[in-house]
Amino acid sequence: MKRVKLYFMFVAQHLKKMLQYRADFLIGVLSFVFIQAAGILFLDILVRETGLFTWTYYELLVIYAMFQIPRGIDHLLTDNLWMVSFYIRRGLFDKYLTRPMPVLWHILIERFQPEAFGELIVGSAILSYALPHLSVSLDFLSVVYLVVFVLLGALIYTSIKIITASIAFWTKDSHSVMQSAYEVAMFTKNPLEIYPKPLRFLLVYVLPFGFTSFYPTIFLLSKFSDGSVLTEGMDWILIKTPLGMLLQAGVTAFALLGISLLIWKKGLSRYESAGS
Amino acid sequence: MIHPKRGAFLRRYLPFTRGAMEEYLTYRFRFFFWLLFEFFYLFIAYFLWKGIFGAHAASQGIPLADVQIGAYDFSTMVLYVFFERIVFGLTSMQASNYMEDDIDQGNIAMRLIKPLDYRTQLFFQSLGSTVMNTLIFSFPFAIGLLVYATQTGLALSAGPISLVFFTLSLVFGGIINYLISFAFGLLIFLTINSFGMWQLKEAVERVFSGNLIPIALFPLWLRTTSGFLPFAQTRYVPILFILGTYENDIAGGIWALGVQLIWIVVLYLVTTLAWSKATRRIVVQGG
Repeated sequence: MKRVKLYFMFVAQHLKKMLQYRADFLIGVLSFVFIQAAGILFLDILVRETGLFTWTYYELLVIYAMFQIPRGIDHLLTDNLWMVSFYIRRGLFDKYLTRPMPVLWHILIERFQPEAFGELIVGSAILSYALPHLSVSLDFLSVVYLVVFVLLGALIYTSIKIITASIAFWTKDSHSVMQSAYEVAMFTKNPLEIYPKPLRFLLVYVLPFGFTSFYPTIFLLSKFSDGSVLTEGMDWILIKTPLGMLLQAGVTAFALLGISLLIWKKGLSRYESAGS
Repeated sequence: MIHPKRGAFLRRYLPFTRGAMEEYLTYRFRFFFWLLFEFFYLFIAYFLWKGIFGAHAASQGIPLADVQIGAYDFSTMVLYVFFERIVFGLTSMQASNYMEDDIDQGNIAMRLIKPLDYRTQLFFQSLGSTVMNTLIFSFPFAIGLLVYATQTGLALSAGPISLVFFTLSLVFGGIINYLISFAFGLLIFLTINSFGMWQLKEAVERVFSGNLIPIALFPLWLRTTSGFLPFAQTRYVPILFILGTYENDIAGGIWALGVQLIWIVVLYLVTTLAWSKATRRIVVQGG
């Protein structure tokens, strides 16, 4: 009898948890949409008439939308990386070492973050609003290019998260470092021409977030014919053709992934449990 | 006869301020990254505004220095961006952070039975975090602004009266932020304490406190909405004073301060009412 009662108590708890979770999820997405709407309002008030450098209002919206999509994919799949330093500090990390699976893989598949649909939905919505205002014609090949671009962008996010999360193996705390690096991506919500040249270098070669939103947009909008984008926005791109840019994005993303796996491995080998 | 009493009052509550300040020292390794993060933010804002004013200059065919967006030229906008961050630290009375801790760890009942007023205690805790935020954020940015201003020959148009008004409105703004934050703490206490709620609050606050753009540049409907919300009173109003908006309009300045006072009274009454309801509810549940 006691056990039956206990069972129903557990079920009730579980249901409450689910309800709370759903409300939480809805509120979370709502706040995300709200802040994105505010960002668009900002553009709407200030640059609707004038644009920004060679970018028209609608083209700026496309950068904004393309910013969300690789970020959303990475958010959806690898959100558990944010927890690594927490797991290490609380002594919860040991469990991953005992499983017959690579540690990093286990951490990645452990959590699926549906909140990321907020980013993907907002990104697609803005894109489908802005694109009809622009004369964009996509053939099959350019769609393939675009998909590869987006996936490489997500890979860049993931790699940077792995590198910064690994720092916790040494310091037990990596959250603030991770957040600082992750939010460097904010720079790429805007056309890179507005920034000084050294910063563009940073966004192409050090924390290459440029490949996650700005360069895919140049490709999508065929801004290659635009002289000013070529000289200002693409000054750190080696071969200024679509294929050249895609190659550079690919080399960058995979190099970064390689580095991130090396650092992770090195960190894991010196990991000491926080528990006694 | 008032003095010994006040001494006892402070002796009772100042330890909370000190405690909150010491708590920050636990996180001292994060200061650097927080500051870096804020620096990014300032950097982006600066170049974005530069680009926007440049675009307006190009489309109107005038030099960048002559461009006006609303009442703002480029140098005033840069001042705005700096002061927004400075005032943010100075008025950041985040009572809800401490309430959240008390709710999550189940301490709230213990807090209530102590012979201390919980709201006063929260106030003094928030004061501690505000002092630290001022040291960590406002202070470096004030220095940054000073360096930038001397490099570019930027002058502040606020005179002595504006500075006095600015100081007053900072105090009022801090109190209003404390009350807003307490109200939010009550809300999550009575409904759900979730990451989503915090995100939503932050989002609303960001837009309506003038963090994104000066509220004067909002379209009319949004400006009207903002008038019915207290958020602009915390950061935006003090910034207007330090930018010298009321330099030649003392009546307007006094009115702006009056509005802040009205908000303090309204929020105080609302939160007092809600608080007495909430505490009664706790007693019922506990009994």
